[in-house]
Amino acid sequence: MNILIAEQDRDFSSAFSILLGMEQHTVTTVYDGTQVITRVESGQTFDAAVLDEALPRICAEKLLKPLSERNIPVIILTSGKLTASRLTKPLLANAYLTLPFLPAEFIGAIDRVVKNKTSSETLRFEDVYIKLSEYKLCGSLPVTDGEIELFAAMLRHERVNGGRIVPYVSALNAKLEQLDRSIRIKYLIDEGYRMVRTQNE
Amino acid sequence: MNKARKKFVVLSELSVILLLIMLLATINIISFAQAAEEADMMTDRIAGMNGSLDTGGKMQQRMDMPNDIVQNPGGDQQAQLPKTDRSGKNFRFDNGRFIHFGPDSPEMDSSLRYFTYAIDKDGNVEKIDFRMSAITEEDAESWALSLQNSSTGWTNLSYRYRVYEINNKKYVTVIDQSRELWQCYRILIISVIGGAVFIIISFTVFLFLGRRLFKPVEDADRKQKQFIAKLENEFKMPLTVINADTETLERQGGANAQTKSIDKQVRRMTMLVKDLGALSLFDESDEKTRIDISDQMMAMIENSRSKFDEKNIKLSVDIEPGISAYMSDNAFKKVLNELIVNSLKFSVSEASFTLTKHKDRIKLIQTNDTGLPDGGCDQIFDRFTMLENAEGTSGAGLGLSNVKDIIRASDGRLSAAVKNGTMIISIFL
Repeated sequence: MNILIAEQDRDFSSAFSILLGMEQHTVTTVYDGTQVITRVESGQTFDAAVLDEALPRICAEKLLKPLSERNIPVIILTSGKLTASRLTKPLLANAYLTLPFLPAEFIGAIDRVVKNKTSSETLRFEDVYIKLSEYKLCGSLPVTDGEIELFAAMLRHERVNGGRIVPYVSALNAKLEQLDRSIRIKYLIDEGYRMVRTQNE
Repeated sequence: MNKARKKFVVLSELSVILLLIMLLATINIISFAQAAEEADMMTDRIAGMNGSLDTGGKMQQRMDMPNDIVQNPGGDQQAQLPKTDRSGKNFRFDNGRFIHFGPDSPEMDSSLRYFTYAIDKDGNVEKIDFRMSAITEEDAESWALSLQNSSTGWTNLSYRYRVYEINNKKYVTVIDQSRELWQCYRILIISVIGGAVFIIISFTVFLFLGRRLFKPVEDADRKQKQFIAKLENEFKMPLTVINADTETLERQGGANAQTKSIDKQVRRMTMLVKDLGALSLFDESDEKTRIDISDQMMAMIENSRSKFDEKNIKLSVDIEPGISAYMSDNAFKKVLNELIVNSLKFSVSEASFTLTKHKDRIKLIQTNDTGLPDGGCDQIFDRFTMLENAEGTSGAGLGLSNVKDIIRASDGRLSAAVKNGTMIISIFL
């Protein structure tokens, strides 16, 4: 796979280039936002792009549109707290990774977004669905890798734990409300997070 | 407004109000006591003159007059003068009191409004003197009858009375002190208005002073938070890179003692960075809402139940349903998370979480059997403080200090003590 890493910290780029190289991936490293634009406009194709949130010259948020137009999945590296309000913006990266993280998390995130982008699978619970290749909830609102993982785990009746899941739960519920669906994610004592139909509708 | 500054303003203002109330109350009590004493002097004087200041009054009773009263032979309309007038001075200070000044002034006699009635054993009422215009003689007679069994005091708001006996008759003298009392009420009104104005002025001054005094403290606090946030961010990237480099080294040459050690230390530092993050991210201005803490607590504990099982810790949970509190959602999650992490680290075989509500007080009790010696141990809420059982565990002693900050910001209180080897952390919201 061809991976683009846009990160101003050269040690980071170097360390993860070596690791991804060991995984048989080809890595292109750039250090600011304009270089990202130059690379994609020059016709170079990438299977995924990893962007530092605070990239110099053009920030990662502003690169989302040109990259999504070229169907390149994007992972944003952030040092800030991931909140539900951030995950409900109209334009989202395919995944967000919060620093500090383990190499396995990084490689796992890249593998997942690439796999999902080329997948024909659709996750469905009653009238709520996510087509993996679109990264959209019910074909309209963008979702992230974290929300897809949560949705898939609930469909498999797996128990998902940990505080890092909370913003994804809130974001998905907000999007379901926005789409006027009566399904909500609730915490059930015996089963953990589950999708349930709200009683008043 | 910063919490410390608010506390300073409130406490200072309360102190001023308390002192002001004490001062004004003392002035007014003295003022009213003085008025009563002066009125008693007048009734005493009238009593000494057998119930009448009028020399043309009931002459048949004057044979019983006390020695310290001299009769003025000058005529019917002149007032009686006290013996102390013998010095010839109009105004002099004697025994802590101005003679011929205030109630002792001979002018008072002519301006005094009073009445005296005598009541014999058969209940016959005899008028001795009546110099009143505000009430009728019939009213005065009924007052006298109603007061005959008392001794001295106030009646009908501004009238001072004295009851005494002469020749087996009860004499009731009542004087009108409304003019004198009006002076006291004027002092009272001035005290109330002046006090209110002073409270407003002092509040403004304390607000101004508080801003000036606490500005350096608030600045330092803000800078400290900014510094910690920056420090946390600055650490995140190196930790991630070290993790990646260690992974590369392990893949190239296989894991060895050194790479394992690096990995372990990086994990420790990652935890420290996360704790620092919580410290800087916690903000008193976090939006507060009414949250169902029973539900949240149950969900978070159930989420962690498997971890307690893994460590063979018997977990007891007793949560009263439907308890809600007005606080930041994030802050409450942080508190519970720290309590759970703390319990997982330090419980030997048993831990419990209890949530109850009594009246308006929410009580959250968390216990861990630690085997520590008995006694209070509130120091666990201090930053970077770890007890002797923390040896070999990860962490930097920041978790419970975050809990303390959050609980205090929510106007709650907390304490920790060890009883029979069990650490009991009590939180009251």
